[in-house]
Amino acid sequence: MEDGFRLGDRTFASRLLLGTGKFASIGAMLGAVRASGAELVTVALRRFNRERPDDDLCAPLAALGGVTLVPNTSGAMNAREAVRAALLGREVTGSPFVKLEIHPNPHHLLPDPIETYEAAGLLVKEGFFVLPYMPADPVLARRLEDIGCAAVMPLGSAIGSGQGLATLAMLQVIVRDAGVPVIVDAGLRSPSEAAAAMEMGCDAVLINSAIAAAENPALMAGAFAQAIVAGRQARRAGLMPRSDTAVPTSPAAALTAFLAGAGD
Amino acid sequence: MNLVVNGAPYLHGGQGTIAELLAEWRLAPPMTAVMINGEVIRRSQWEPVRLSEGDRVELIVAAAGG
Amino acid sequence: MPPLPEWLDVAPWLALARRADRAMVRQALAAPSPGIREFAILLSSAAAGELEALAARAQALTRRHFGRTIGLYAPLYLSNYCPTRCVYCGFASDRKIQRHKLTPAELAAEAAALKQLGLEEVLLLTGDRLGTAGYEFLRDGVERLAAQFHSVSAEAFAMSESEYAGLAAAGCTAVTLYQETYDPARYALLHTSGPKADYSGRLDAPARALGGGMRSAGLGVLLGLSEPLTDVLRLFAHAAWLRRRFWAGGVAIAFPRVRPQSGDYAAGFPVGESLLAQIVFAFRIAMPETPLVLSTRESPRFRDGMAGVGISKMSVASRTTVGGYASGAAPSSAQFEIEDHRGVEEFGAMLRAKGLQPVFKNWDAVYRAAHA
Repeated sequence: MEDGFRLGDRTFASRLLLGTGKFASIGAMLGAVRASGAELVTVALRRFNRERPDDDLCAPLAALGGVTLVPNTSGAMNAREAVRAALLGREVTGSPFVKLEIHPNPHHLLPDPIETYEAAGLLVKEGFFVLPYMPADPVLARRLEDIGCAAVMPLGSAIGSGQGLATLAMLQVIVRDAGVPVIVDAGLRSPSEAAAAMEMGCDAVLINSAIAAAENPALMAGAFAQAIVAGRQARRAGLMPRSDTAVPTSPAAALTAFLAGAGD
Repeated sequence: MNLVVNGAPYLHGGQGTIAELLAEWRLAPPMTAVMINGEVIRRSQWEPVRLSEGDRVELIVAAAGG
Repeated sequence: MPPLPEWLDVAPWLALARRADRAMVRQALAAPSPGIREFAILLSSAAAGELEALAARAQALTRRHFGRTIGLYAPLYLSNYCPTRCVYCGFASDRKIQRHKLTPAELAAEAAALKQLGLEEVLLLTGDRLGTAGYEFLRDGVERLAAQFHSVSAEAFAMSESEYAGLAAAGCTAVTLYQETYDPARYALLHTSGPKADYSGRLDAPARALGGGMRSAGLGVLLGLSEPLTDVLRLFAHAAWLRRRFWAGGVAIAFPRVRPQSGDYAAGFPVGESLLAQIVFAFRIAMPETPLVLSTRESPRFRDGMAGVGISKMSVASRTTVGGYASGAAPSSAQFEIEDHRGVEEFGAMLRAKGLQPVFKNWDAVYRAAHA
């Protein structure tokens, strides 16, 4: 596969990860997954409800073929709960991946760096490919990489906020220094933002709200998929820098005059 | 035996194996996770488990979200 | 020899350096996140034709990341005993020179003399690893000086990670180790015997230093030993690789150039001042936050021109004899000849006249356990 997306011990063709929340119906969600070409799909966990057995998600997703489920620990308030959620998620999906998501504040849903770091260490030891959702902090990103996370997932902006790549400057540093894939997660509103994330060097993007809340989720999912491919291709093609005018040279007292008539 | 399953009292009619409990709930073993008294039980370790009176069981499946 | 690391393969960048045109140079100068690609373009002959523009960008970036300051340090040779034949070096084992190793009393005198000059950062040097002037001797020197100076670093033989950890515990904050040349064939010709003949062991040493807890690793090639563009591209790749692998560690780059010394080694690939300046500018532009170091091997005129224009750190009032700062020091031969003999006062005055402030220490060492 050319330019495959390596994550954990697998290689994927698609660099669009899809969240399954906030859709109007399971049917709408499945339509979006299909249209997006996503191969990594995040799911949450719930108690089985005997009264509503047909709300099953796993079977229809498995039926699509080519989809790897990634349970997420959303709802966990601390490392201990997140570890328990991850263990449950592994049993439910059979997947070695886990999206580690710990956001104690229900308003802004921003990730807790300390609980996340602690949980990541425990889950790596349990053999998971840990994908930690984290603040866009370059030092935290390297710390999580050092303890064995399979990727880092810095936020673009708060979940559902649609603020786009508000953390761009930090993302640039994270991307530059990362030895594991960087998957931007949260806050992207439009396909052009997803393309921008790929152009600046991110390895993949996770989208949920922007697709689920669209008028036509399947159509939006397709748009995101194309944008991510375009952004990645632009990156590989070697983008031209923004301006082609160099910094103006210094006035009369030339900086390099001391080299004139130099001996050796 | 009397159990608490998914937060509510439940009268289990079998020998207390996980397989029986899931069958009673019409749950397929794949894609289901089981927690007993707060501990996640790995699928490979379901077979020897025998539930006891008063055990708190959680039956977990995937949900849309995240 | 074990397989060479992937990052040593710079063939595509060398090709780019050879064919870049002026338009590419202008784009490289404006690139917001320059990397090895821009670095290669800035090494081209097209870039040589735009040297003033490179200098201006280098100066702007030096100011942004280092302010209008120049870090100053002095080298202190602890010993010039050496078992190794480096063809180009004044200390080579087969040269009949005056050898000496500092006694503790002499070391104390040297330290006092350096302190008198106002210096706070010292780089300790030895020859290649030898029984009498080996690891223990070096670590002892580090420990003694770390109690008095705010920063002690070492430029010595390649060591194991645990040896580097021991040096760090003794108070050494940085290690400098030039690969001399990244070309394995040229390396073998130039280092014919002794511990330093191990190319791979040396190549891996900066990683071991950072892994052992050194805050920073100083890298460099001895310009003149091999084809310079290839060596300099590999040096860049090495620095970039180390920075990725050791996110909490720093790298610094120095630019030693083959200079006249006691012996008759003439550079096979001489590098002139203009190319040296261009290399420095390219590093500054493509790795803007990296300290770039220039020693007293270079002439006063060249050093004056480069201070603050890419270069952020310089040695001063240097001696490359063993000791030699204190009067009455035992005679010994120098490793290489110095061209800039100016003392700290005179050099400081030059810097100030250029609007640069000489800086003698970065962080106060009192936070560190090793400092008395």
